[in-house]
Amino acid sequence: MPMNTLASKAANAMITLVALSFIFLFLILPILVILQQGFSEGVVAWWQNISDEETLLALRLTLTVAAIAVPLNLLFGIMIAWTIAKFQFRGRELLLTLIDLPLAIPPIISGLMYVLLFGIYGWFGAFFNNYDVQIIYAVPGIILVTIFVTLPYVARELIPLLSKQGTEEELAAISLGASGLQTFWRVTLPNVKWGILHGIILCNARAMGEFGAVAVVSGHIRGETNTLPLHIEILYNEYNFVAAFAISSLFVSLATITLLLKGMSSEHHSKKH
Amino acid sequence: MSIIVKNISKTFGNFKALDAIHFQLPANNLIALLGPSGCGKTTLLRIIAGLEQADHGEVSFQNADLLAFPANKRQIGLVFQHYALFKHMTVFDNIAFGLKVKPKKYRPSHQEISKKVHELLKLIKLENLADRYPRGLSGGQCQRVALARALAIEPRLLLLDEPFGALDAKVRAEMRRWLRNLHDTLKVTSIFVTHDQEEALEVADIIIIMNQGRIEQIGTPDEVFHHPANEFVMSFLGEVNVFHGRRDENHPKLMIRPHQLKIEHAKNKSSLQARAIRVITAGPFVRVELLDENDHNSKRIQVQMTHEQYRSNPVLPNSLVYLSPKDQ
Repeated sequence: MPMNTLASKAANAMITLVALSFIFLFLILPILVILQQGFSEGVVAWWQNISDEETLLALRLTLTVAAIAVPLNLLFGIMIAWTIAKFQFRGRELLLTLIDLPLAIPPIISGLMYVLLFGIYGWFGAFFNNYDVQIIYAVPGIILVTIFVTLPYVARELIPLLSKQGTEEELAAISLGASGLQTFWRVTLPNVKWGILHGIILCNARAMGEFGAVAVVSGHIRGETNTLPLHIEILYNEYNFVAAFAISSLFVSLATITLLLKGMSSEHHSKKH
Repeated sequence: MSIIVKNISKTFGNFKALDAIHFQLPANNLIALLGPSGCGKTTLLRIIAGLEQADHGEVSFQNADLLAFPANKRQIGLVFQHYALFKHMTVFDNIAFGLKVKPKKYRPSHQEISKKVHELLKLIKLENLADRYPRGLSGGQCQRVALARALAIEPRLLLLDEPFGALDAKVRAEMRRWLRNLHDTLKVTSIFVTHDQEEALEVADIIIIMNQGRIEQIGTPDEVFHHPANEFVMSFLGEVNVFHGRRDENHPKLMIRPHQLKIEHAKNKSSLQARAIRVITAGPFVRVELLDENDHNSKRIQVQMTHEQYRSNPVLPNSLVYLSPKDQ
């Protein structure tokens, strides 16, 4: 027995060491490289890169897109999750699969689909062109594809939660005289509030970070249709590494905050169940 | 002044859950809907509550047609087996829920709600737990809160679906007595679903015994226990020994409860020879298990007697004895 525990202790230490080096090599080191590069010309240069006018415009666009896409997908996600979790109907399985579609389709294809739909020569292109509304190579296109790629996050988070919850609490609320709407606001939603927060965080992270699909429909017009990820690519392609990494460091800190928030909401989650 | 259920039927696919259920009972009683699982008792309860639609039939209470109203307008208190308390609300908010969701016109003021909730907390003896969340309560406490929550809306009818089914044996016995006392104080017409015959016999004023979507018998616990309408009721309400008529057709099947048999050491003309297998003296009564000497393949015969009777006439395991029905 003592030999055995000793052996397994050594094995445990080995496994832990391997896991930690793996995490260091593939997760921490790249982040450190970003920070090192971003600050390589000093804090002042870093700040100048961050506060560059084009960068600020790109940041504003990214935040605008997220501010439109996330609330819409929140609303849609709650509705679809509620429908799927609480009712049995024909086509329910199909709907469940369809929601996952944006995750299965490569982002670049998602972008192309929208070009084919709304581009000048696309199905609806002529229609919008008549009214002088430009969608592709303009902000509306960026918003549309972002909504598409971030569509599943809130719904996927809520479906299992709402299904597990069952319908008893809602039936109790109705027997106590609550209307359908009162039951939804006072019983259904509060029970999944941490799941909703979790979904918003994931949805937001993807909305701000999306590159592939946005790259296709954006047109890379500086100061107009350039989002933050696209802006980083342009700077990098122009060999302006320090600026590219400085902005990347901004993203990394944003991602870290997001993940910390997510960690907190998951903790609440597991405490509740 | 009564609850009337008229010709209620319900089918799920090919399964007939309720087949023309019909009864009329006076108000202010505690009524048990008793039957094995799948007999339709819960479906009937859900139809009365409005959570399920009947295929056809009528339900009325105090001359009001209940089925004409949606579930949230029926003013029927519902208590679920697994409590269904709102997990994200305190005990206080759970009980206050039914008052807070009332339309503005009828909604009591904050003070009135608070007063009412505290009265109910006092009734269920949980005054000091008002600020707890359901996850901090025991099963028995949860069910008391669920009951208080249902009573807060001053229901005209209280429905309980296997209310003590999720509790352990000891708490269950306490809760039964507590529910009976509560009913004696409040007199709210109540219907509770159960598959536990002891619970029904102990708690209810009237028992409706159901089987396969039909009513087998309606009566007071005394009536259904001592004068069962049929074989099903007899065997469902307690242990019963079945003796099949031997060879000659003049002896039909005989059903007799363990406490209605007596054990003697001398043979008489109508007695049955049996061998004692097990004697269980632990418990309020002595139970003896025997085997029919002429039919070793038959089920064990159960006899129950008081400790006094046993002391004056002890039975040794493996001894041969004679069984006969007691003179009633």
